[in-house]
Amino acid sequence: MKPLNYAIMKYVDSVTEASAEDVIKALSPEYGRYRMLRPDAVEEALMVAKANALLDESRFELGENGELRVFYKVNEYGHYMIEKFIRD
Amino acid sequence: MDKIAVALKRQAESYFMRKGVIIAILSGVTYGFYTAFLTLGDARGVWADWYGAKTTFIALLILSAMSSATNDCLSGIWSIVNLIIKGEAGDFFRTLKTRPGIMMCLCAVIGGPVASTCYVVALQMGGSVIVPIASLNAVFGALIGHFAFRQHLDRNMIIGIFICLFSATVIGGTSFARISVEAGIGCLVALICALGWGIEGAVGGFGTALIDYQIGIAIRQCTAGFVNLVILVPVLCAFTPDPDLQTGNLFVNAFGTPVVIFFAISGLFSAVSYAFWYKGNSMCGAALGMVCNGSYAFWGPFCCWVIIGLIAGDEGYSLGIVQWLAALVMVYGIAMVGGLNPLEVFRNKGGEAKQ
Repeated sequence: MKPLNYAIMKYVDSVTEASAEDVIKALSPEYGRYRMLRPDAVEEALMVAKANALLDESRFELGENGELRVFYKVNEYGHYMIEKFIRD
Repeated sequence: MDKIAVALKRQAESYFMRKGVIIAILSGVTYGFYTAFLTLGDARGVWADWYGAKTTFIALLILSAMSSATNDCLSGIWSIVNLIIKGEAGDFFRTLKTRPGIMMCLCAVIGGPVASTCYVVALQMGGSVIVPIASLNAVFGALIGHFAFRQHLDRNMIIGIFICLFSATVIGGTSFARISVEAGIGCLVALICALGWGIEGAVGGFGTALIDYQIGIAIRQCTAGFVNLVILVPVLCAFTPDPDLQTGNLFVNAFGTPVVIFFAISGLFSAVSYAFWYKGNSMCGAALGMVCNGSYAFWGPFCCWVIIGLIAGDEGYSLGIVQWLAALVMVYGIAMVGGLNPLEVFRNKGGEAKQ
């Protein structure tokens, strides 16, 4: 089992694009008991990764309940850094 | 619907930016409280006796390393307790074994024992003239962030950093009267310290993009405390025959007498301060994060005045008008680095929605 933040980065790196909701859905079975696997905390983790140039935003939309959903994808530099720093 | 999405998106972005700046400034405020309680602890109990009686260069080095060791160890314990409460202590050990975890340990050693010892040595050799040189850490942090981690850096930001540096120099009441060869060497040592803190800020900030910042900080404080206590202090103690200044005696007295309470409090503030420093740097980039944190140049004397001067009643900690004015200049410098209107950062949500 990886630390939660590593799992988030690895997951986003493994798909074309992902929102915080997608991350939570994908990681809930293994990390469901983590307090940091909340929508706001995961969104912030993704925004921090974006601020550090690891991710780009691919698009955004409104969800069914009128909430904002931002999708992120890993860029070339991010992929290189994730591969380099986070080993399986 | 698109318009609502765009508005929400803009709101989320400005909330993130504002939160980053506030966290980075809070890192400066808590650093001020950490400094105040550490200074208070150093002036009480067994520490007052030590600092009163042992005035040689090596004694001051040992005492300052021991003081940091006590603070960092207790700070590490606080950080681990925080992780246990959150149920994430397992991630601490899992992260420790990975590359970013090891990177965090290296950061802790460079920014902790290495840079802090350089700072004390420089201060002893050069006096207060070295303080602004050590503050150059923000410049190094910004440059490393720019060249190693692709962070934005432009002319205005560099001017802003130097404005902050200038205000920090004024607040510190730097005296340039004591210029000598020894002071010159002190300045060079201070430069190593600035580079150490610059590396720590930029690399630690980037590290928290991969590691949860609370885990990152637990690693930082535990490593710094361990290296200070188990390596630095014993090595320094080997240079003096003084029986009072031996690791065992220092340890028993520092941790086993009531004065430890001040270090427990300073340790708590330093845990929060470093956590917010890394977190702020990861949210705003090293340049803006580090100048916001650099506001400790003001918060340090301010908190010393409140805690030691007003509450504990010791004399000599009041702030003059020049220091208050310099603090305002610093706010302007920070705003320049962030490309911000300082008033907008603190504007409430309602005000922003009207924009």
